[in-house]
Amino acid sequence: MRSAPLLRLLATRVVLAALSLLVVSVVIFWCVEMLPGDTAQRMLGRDATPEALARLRAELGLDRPAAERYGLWLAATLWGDLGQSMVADRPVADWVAGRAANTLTLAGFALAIYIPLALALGLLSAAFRGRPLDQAISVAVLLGMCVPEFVTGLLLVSVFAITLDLFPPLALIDQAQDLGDLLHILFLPALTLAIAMTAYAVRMMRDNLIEVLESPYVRLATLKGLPRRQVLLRHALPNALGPAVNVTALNIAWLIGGIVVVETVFNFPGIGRLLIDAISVKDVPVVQAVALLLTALYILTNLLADIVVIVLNPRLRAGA
Amino acid sequence: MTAPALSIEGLSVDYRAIAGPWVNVVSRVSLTIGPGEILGLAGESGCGKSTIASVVLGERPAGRRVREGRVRVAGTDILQLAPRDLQPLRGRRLALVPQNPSQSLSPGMRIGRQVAEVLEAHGAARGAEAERRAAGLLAEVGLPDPERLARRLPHQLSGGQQQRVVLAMALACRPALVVLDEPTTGLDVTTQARILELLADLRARHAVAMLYISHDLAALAQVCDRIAVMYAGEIAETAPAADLFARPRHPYTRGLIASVPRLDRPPDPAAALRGVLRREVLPTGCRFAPRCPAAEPVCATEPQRLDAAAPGHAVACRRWRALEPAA
Repeated sequence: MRSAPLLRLLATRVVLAALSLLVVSVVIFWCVEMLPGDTAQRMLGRDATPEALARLRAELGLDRPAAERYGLWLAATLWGDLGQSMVADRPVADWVAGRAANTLTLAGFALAIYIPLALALGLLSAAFRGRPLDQAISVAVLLGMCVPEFVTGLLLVSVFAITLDLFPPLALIDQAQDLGDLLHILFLPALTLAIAMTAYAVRMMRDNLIEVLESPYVRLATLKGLPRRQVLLRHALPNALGPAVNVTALNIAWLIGGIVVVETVFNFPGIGRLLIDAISVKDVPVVQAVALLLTALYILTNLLADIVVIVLNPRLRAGA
Repeated sequence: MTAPALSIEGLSVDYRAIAGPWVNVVSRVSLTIGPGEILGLAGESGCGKSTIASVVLGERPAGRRVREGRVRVAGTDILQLAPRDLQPLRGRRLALVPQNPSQSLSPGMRIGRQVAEVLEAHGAARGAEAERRAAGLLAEVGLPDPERLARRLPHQLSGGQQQRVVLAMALACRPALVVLDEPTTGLDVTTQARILELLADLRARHAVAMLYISHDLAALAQVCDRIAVMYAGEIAETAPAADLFARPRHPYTRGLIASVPRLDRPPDPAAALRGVLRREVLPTGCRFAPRCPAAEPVCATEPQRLDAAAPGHAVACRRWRALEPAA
């Protein structure tokens, strides 16, 4: 009985997710179609003969109407076949999967920096509200919010890679020998992403915590004679997390877009770079696969956030 | 002789909004509570009752200052203590039973843990031993099946149960003084009656001194030894509980008592209080003068002081003798 709200939520979301994916695939297909030129033109270059172009178009199926091509693609996809890349002559699924693994590694590292950083800064600025530490954090957070991530990334590169020579300026993940190596190579791009996400979360955490710190149960916890640390960590923090989880979901959604920019700055072979390269040659199956993957991730993250909020709320959580 | 559980001498407290002027909220209040004694503090909303509770508990919010006075709990001067020295005192020598138990328990933490925390913070017990003693404390405040209840979350309890849990936490370390701030306000009448019985029972067993703050005279009458009536930040009258109800001497106390609805006689609008407390127009003399049915012009300009009318009975009204009912 108590899992009913969760089940209902899940069922609704799955239906909505399928619909969203369908709409996204139509929109993406149509957008790519709108781009000038076609795949054959881009592959063969400006000097291609009309005969060569016609042959390649027939080979790629580009001579058929757009609606028919979309229909064929959709049918194949529904059967689980993402098709071949038009340009690289390799299965889309393998290619995207390899790049997605790289990107997930980077995103996971960014989140691993972001979560403790946001918690610590949010807690400190609420606990020292109005004092110099809080003001310093506020300024840093505002800077983090208004400086775009490619500027942050370039700044970090110029300081930590060029001047101090502590980290490599390019994130060439394929050269990593072991885990330490991997973390070393990925540190700067991960930090770039974490800084932008932290800025939003800290503001949210601070406001929530300040509200919770004024609640009667925090007052009573203090008047029970508990140490300040215990009041903050055991009584205030868990009750300020709910909205912060939602911000984190929004952040992950942002991360999906931000990662394209950061991957370009650091020349990182991830899904964002793949998307940009595929769009520039109108490699429709690859573009579609990446776009659908990103959409699905976005939907999944938000669903996950809703579930976490339900689990965090003791009134909705399964009780003893 | 042991020190009183609470001694307040000439306490004056001001508040201000951000960068605004200081506004006086508590003025020259003196109170004493002997060991094991229960003192009731009565008055309307905004008369300064909860401010006194907060000062006694050592809270120091921004925008509030103690202009003068001394507050000692079991001999320790609360106002002189550094925050780090207050912490070991709180929960161990000095405890609060707050107004709103449903919001005063941490929503995500199990009941037993919240009680055990008090014992652990003061080194009385640890871990499983603390949990075991927490269940014992829950039993002591009349909660059935305490082991099972200890595993529950606050929202799974009724209001009365929550109030008992808060009471168990307050009594965990056998403090010298418990401050009860409107402890039965949010409860229905039957639950309220049971909590009051429990308080009387706990006092009889543990001889713990209490400062019981309430606007509910009927509740105060049931548990208090003495009652102090406050008006606009000043003490209007203090007397043994029975005496106060039998022979109220301050016109404000009379008005308060007459305002309590009773079944055994029709309401008397003439005797009940008129108007409301308006802080912005307080006179320099008796602060109750603008609402007082017996006020003379001089009342508004001449400051009142507490005058001993009978043993243990003091009243801050220059006309109390003239207003005595003819015996």
